[in-house]
Amino acid sequence: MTFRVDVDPDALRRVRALADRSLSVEEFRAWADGPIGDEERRGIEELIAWHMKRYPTVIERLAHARKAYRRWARSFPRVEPDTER
Amino acid sequence: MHADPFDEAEFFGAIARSHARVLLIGRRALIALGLPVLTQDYDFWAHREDIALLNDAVEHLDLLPNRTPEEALSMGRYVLENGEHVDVLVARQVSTVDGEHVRFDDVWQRREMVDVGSGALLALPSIDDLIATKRFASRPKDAEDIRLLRALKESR
Repeated sequence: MTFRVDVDPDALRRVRALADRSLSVEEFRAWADGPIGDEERRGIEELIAWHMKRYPTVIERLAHARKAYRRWARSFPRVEPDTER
Repeated sequence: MHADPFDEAEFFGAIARSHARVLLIGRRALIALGLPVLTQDYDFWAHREDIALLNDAVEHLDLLPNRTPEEALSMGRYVLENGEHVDVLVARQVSTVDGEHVRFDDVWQRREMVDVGSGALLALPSIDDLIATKRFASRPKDAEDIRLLRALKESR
């Protein structure tokens, strides 16, 4: 079952622009290369373990990702990127 | 019901059978390695001499290039599309945000092959090289993907 989320297209556009922005080199390095704490590491390892157990082959994982994205995309209004920003 | 008209297994199988030097990069490579992330597009990095091989391989899936091979070589990238969106990087090398040059030939040498069914093998960059490709851009999601890849590498 898919639930459609009622989202203001302008708000969605702003969130997308925020997510797609380019970070400065310093910001990027701090984020990407910063230490990974025990809790974060454990969370990632648990996610990987779940994913590998639920979808043991590469093609199953790719197929699930495709299905998951389609399901996720259907729940949001289609908003084209704002090219003027 | 929303049937998926795209035969993804055939897509990867056709690329594997073509013997084109093509690496799956981007978030779909992370997914293949076991990381559950969301993505819409397919991202590949192909050898500059294998554009025609790749295009021919996926033509029967109605995936058509938006540029001629000559234009793609000049721009360093092109798109295969028709409902699906497949970004194909064809640059010899790409610079990271740190100013390091990542060469296709080096990444290809260190590739890892994964089975995508029926014996078809798909090439992925090594985890270190995948991390390097994630430094081509400097978006928040690239930084986050690098953290995931670092944790994956350390867990192996």
